[in-house]
Amino acid sequence: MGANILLPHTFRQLGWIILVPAAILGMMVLFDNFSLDILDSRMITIYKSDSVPLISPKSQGHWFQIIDVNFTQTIIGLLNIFALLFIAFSKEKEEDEFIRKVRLDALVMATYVNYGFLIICFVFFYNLDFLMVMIFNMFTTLIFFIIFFRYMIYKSQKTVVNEE
Amino acid sequence: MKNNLKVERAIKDITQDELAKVIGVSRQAINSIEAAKYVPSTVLALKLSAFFGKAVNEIFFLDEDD
Repeated sequence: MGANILLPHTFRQLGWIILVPAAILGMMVLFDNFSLDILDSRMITIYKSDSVPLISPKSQGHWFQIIDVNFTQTIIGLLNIFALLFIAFSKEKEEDEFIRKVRLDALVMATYVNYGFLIICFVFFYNLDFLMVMIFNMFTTLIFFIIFFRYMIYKSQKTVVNEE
Repeated sequence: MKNNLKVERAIKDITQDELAKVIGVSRQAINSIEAAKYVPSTVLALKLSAFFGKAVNEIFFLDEDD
């Protein structure tokens, strides 16, 4: 992973500034049905099914239909995604090939762990409960990656300090 | 891969931190190379070789596992 496809180092701080309120609002959306009426609007969808049951070959629906929506969860979801991307993929202060190797290792680890959880949830959650799992899954790969990467960087720094 | 970076560093009397700054990498990179936890790229190996004024294969050696 070349350093040139990473974001500038300052994006990490920006990411945290966005993430703290966005994560709190996100929890309020998920567990408290938080919604702002001023965000009611019309929006074009790619596909809108007529019935509640999730997509199946038999379900009826329409392509590119304009519907009434509330943007609260969309905006809060996007803020969380951007914040996590900023934190995850901003350059380190001292970016070098060793850091890039650690980043790649952390990304592979995070993908494995995330799919581990997803496989378990895929087997043990059904219908709308699984939709809830998928909502969390929008964010978990990045969260696991951030945790693993920061821990591996922290561990390598600690080794350096011990050597001295 | 094995290396005698630590020995070369001792001969030049330079710390990991100082070496990292001269070469332009993080301290963790130098530390991990010395601990044989990280195999540097050819570019980094050549930079270290130029700094110590020794051939790359005088600093880095193949292991039985390589």
